[in-house]
Amino acid sequence: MRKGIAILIALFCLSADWVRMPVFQEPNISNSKIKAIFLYNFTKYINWPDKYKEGNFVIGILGTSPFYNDLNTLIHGRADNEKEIKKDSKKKVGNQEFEIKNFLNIESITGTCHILFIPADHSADLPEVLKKMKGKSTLIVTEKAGLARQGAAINFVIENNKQRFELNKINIEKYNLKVSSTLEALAIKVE
Amino acid sequence: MIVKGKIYILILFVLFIHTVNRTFAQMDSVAKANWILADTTMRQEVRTKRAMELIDKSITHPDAINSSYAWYTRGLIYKEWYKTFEKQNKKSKTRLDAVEFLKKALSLDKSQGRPIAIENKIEYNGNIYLVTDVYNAANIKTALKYIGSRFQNDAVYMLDTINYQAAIQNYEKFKECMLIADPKYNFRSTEMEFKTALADQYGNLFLNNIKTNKQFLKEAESTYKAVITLDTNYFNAIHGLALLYYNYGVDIINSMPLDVPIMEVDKIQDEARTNFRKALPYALKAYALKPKKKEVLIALQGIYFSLYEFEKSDVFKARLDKLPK
Repeated sequence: MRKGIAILIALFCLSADWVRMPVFQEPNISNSKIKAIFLYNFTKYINWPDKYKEGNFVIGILGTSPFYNDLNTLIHGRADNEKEIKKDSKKKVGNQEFEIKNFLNIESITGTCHILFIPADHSADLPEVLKKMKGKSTLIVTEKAGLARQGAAINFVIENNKQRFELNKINIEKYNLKVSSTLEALAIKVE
Repeated sequence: MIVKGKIYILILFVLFIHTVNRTFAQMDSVAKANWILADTTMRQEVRTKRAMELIDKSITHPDAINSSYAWYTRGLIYKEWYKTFEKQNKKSKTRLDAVEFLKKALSLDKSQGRPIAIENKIEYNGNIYLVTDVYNAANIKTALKYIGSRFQNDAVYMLDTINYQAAIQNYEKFKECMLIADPKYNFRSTEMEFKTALADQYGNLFLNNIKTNKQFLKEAESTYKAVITLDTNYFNAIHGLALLYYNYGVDIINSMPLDVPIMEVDKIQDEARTNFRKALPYALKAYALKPKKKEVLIALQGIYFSLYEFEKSDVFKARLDKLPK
């Protein structure tokens, strides 16, 4: 009887231990990573007017997108729910430290903003954002098909199972920004 | 005539007894080792240790060294020590020794499966005893089966990213013991379970550092595929391989530094996409086998998401949401 129980326990232990499911990694963060890398690189290939080269380099995210936390973690190495400026940030644009801002709505967009990212679910806000940003040197980045033709400077698109970006040079220059030929060469050009 | 025949048989019997006694006359100390082992007046640790010391000494005798009975006794005493005092020691040398001694006993065995009674005179505590020991080759196989099952248990418990090599060694010893004990032993399902679990560990080792541990990717792939060749519907290996490719794709992207030159991003995405695409047929196969398994639905949702096929990803997310909580 005891032997039988021991065998049963052993069999249970065996089956329980052999089967160890490998851990599945969250896909969202890798998607955010590519966008973050692109955004970071845009700062190298786009030139802002001199008066934008002081203070922090501000990237604003419109709405309550998880991309805000992801971008903060990727740039600063940890989530920034308090919206404080990171002092320990090593990533810089020239001498400017990064500041990631979360604008819950269009009205809350104030001050200097170098890049404004409009997540897909806020795409309908683009016309109003364009009005609000008129005369400012803000690079407007969207992620919905067709928005590069509706005023966005750069629009993230999916092409052949990869993240790419459309670039509308006219829309960039409207905001007194200069784009390098390297970035143009890598982008899907839209007019 | 009949009387002459009886005398002839009697002479043969006497000769047989004489031969047996002669053969085993040198086996007294072997039998004594067994006798000591059974002497419950001593603590188990003391008597087992003394039995081991005596059998180790006896085995060097020219008669004992080629005696199946002597090696059998030695193997069983060592097995007893392991079973009582070293069962938790996954790297027990005594266990390995016991296997070797039992193998040696089998290699010398001429009993053809028949138990043999062996009589010995032993001197113990100042008295002379006539003891009868039974040599039974079946006991060797039983002992090897027991030791084999312990090797298997230890292989299971040691199978992680640190002790996987020791786990492999234990698993091989398990196979060796079982094959000796039962040449027709069916390893198929155990083999698939072990190799899948091993491939999982290779995968983990690879994913710990995809840049320096590339050799484990190949090990994981080939081990999973070996299992799938054995059984094309073996769920755990199919699902494991899907996750290996998928996780590799995710890691390729996640290990990119933020300041990677923009010219390289496309190439890196290509590499990741290749792995997401490799994962897909295995994940779909896993889904065909277990359509209501949560892990499968999560995997497919993630793979399609990573391939930016959001509609398909949403289909699997919806199926996942429909599963009973």
